[in-house]
Amino acid sequence: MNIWLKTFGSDLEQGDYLPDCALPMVGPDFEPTIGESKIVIEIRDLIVITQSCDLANAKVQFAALCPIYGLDHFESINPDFTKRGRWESVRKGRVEGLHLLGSPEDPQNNRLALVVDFGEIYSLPVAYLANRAGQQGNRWRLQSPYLEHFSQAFARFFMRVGLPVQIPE
Amino acid sequence: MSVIETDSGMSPFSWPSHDPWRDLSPAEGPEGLEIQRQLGNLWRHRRSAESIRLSDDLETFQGEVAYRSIPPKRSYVVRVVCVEVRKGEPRPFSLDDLTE
Repeated sequence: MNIWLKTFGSDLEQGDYLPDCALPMVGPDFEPTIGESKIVIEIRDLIVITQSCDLANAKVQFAALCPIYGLDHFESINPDFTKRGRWESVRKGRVEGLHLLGSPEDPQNNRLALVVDFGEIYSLPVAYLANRAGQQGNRWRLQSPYLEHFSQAFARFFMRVGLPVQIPE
Repeated sequence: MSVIETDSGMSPFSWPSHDPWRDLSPAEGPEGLEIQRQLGNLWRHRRSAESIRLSDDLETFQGEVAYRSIPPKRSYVVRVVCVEVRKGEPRPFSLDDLTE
């Protein structure tokens, strides 16, 4: 069973992997005064988390996405993750905010797996994303049941409730 | 002890899953028997060492795992022209799904 399926075209679904998306960012001192101003454009690889039915029925004009990275890239910023057992904790769903997905190219090679950071949720116009998807030719789409597993992991992260006082251990 | 998942049916070990020399024709003579015994010992030692390494690799970290966000692949500054459009209006919201 394939984790990812190659697809093409501008139709968007939950679990679509969209490389090199442009994210306009404003800094803390950004002032939207009339006239010329400056913003930063960040380029990131993203995965769609908006539900497919909302996208298919044009229920939303903006889609939510999370960044997705290769393990080597993630480890270059977070060297603690090179230590023993860290990725195994993520794989078991014990690290809030991170979710592992098998590699599209070689699912058996766990070093080529991808990690999604639910802690950063971006929103971009569906029209921009559809245009971007259409330009990319063949691209990857997460398949069931990995898609539902991914969606459930995001829901579990987002629905967390923090308590002011915990029951003591 | 953790056990590696082998959905692909591939062995996680670099050596065969059983002593390959055990299935060969019985060695003859004291030298042949000694070679077969040593090969068996070598296989068991190698297998044991790899088991320990695999279980170490797969051991789940029990502490709290924190991480830093990853910088973008690249970024650049663009000049934009700001246009005043006042506050955004609510978007049309269809209630078709709620009607019976």
